[in-house]
Amino acid sequence: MTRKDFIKNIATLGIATPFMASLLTSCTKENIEFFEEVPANFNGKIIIVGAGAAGLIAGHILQQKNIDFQIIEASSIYGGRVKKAADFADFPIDLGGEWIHTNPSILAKLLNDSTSQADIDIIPYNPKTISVWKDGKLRKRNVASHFYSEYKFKSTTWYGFFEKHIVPNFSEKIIYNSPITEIDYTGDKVTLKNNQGGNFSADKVLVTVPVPILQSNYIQFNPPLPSEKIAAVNNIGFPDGIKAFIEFSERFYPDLTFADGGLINGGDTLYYDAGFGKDAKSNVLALFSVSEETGKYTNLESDTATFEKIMSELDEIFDGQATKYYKKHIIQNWSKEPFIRGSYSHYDNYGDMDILGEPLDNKVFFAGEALHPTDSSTVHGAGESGYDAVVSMISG
Amino acid sequence: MKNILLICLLLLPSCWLKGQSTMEKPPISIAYFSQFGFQPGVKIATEFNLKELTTETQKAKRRNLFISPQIGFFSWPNNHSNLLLNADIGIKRQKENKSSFSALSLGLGYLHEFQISTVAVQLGDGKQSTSRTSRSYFLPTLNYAFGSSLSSAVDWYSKIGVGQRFGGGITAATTVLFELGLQFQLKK
Ligand SMILES: Cc1cc2nc3c(=O)[nH]c(=O)nc-3n(C[C@H](O)[C@H](O)[C@H](O)COP(=O)(O)OP(=O)(O)OC[C@H]3O[C@@H](n4cnc5c(N)ncnc54)[C@H](O)[C@@H]3O)c2cc1C
Repeated sequence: MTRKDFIKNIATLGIATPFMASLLTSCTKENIEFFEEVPANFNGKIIIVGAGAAGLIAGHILQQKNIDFQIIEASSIYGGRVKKAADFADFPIDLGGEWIHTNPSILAKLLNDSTSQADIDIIPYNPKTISVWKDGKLRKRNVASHFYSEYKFKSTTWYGFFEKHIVPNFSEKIIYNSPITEIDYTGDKVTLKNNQGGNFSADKVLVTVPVPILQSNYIQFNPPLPSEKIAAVNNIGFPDGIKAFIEFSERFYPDLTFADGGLINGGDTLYYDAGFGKDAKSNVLALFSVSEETGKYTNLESDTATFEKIMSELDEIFDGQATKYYKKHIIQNWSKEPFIRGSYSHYDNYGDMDILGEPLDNKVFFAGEALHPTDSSTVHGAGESGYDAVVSMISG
Repeated sequence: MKNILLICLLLLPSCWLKGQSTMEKPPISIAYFSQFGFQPGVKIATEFNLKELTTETQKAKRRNLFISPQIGFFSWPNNHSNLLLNADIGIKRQKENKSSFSALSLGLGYLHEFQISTVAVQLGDGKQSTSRTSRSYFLPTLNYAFGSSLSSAVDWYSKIGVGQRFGGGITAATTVLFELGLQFQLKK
């Protein structure tokens, strides 16, 4: 669910939940359906292409099942669109996925380990001061604080969750800097080639790369992808995406500013206090922008030009205070990441999701945020899709 | 903020005393009470007639000045729970031959919000334990109510209030409160 959908849906959610629950229960077992115990009728080798949330959860489940696997990642780090800046401020910063767009007990489901004694602190993200920048005016809309509620990590990040709880179990099985360019599933085994000519082979392959990588034909499939699948892939929208974090010596901004119009139609470009609800002393204002208009930040010639664009916008909104109090910044332009190329999937026709998700000859499978039936575009949705794909691979 | 609490606490008993001097058995009302309609709760209130405003020439339209001390609770599950101490002062109108009535009032409220600040999620089983922080607000409201008699002892009513929360270390925020309830006339 996107942030915008969330605002629209929150009223419905509120009505659906019994009102006394939060007052009476300070300790609740949440209604999370844990992953089922799946019988593993498979003892071959699996290769996962991509070490984002989907690939990492898939690897984690395979590790728990003692199934031989390898993760092949194009870049030099794992995480994909989950990434952190550990030392920018006095709290860790999520450069990609940040909010938990569902019940936070999902973390236990993703870990899938009932023996774990660990816990993790989450904050409800409910900004109190909210403004809208529209027609050259900054208008207070604090009334929206009554409708806004999501979750965030308190003192870690989505990346930190994977770093601490998921990846250590199989870190040696990830191969970095190895972009896969060919997948051949004509024989008994599936063979893969990377851009340096390196070869890999496995009984089954799970492809978790972002949609633009499939759209660009960066990976050549042999036999080629069915034309129906190619059409479905090309129908999926994947707008530009960027996050930027700027530290200021003084705080002059509300908790949340909708920079692209109204409360209902806006929400695709936000300036928000990145330290909200965290034990933060530094003043870090963040930009989140994912929309058809995000190109105005992402398609400039350099990060410096992007930064200047953001600062001029902030100075206009906040009367020159951005330049006055500026200390430092960090920009994460997801559109220019060579193995991501944008933000996350948007469907006009959800039938395309089923077509994209269909395996090829029971040998090549697909997972990733674009393949979660209800929670696409999210980290946890990507993780759950990784689990679902593993179930199809090992039980089928 | 402590001062506001004090004012409210003093206000309620004073309403009570004032009311007792003009009417013996005040009605009691119990209502579904909600912020914005989806943050549900309950409210209990009573009402005292302070002054009859009906003149001899207007007997067909009864008007009276009332004061209504109230205590309410509402919650947004997994987010915040709120306790409201409030007193409304206003004018109630009723046509002589009709069982329906309406009222316009100003409310002076003290809202105490218990906000979930941290949710600790157990990674083994997904259990959550929450810790809360609390904040207080001053909540003046403008209210409109209407209703009618169901029997000689019971009225139903519906009320909408629009107000601003002040204090709690935050800038003012508008709020809308809804009520749907029954008012019971206690036997003398
Ligand atoms: C700006 C922004 C903000 C977001 N905010 C939130 C949020 O607040 N909450 C939320 O839940 N979600 C958010 N998301 C979405 C979330 O981050 C993604 O849905 C999720 O992380 C995607 O995981 P994935 O595994 O499907 O894909 P990715 O994380 O993209 O993983 C795919 C991996 O495949 C690798 N790869 C690509 N091509 C190849 C190749 N040829 N060979 C080998 N490897 C390859 C990539 O390098 C990458 O590591 C946000 C995303 C963006 C961009």
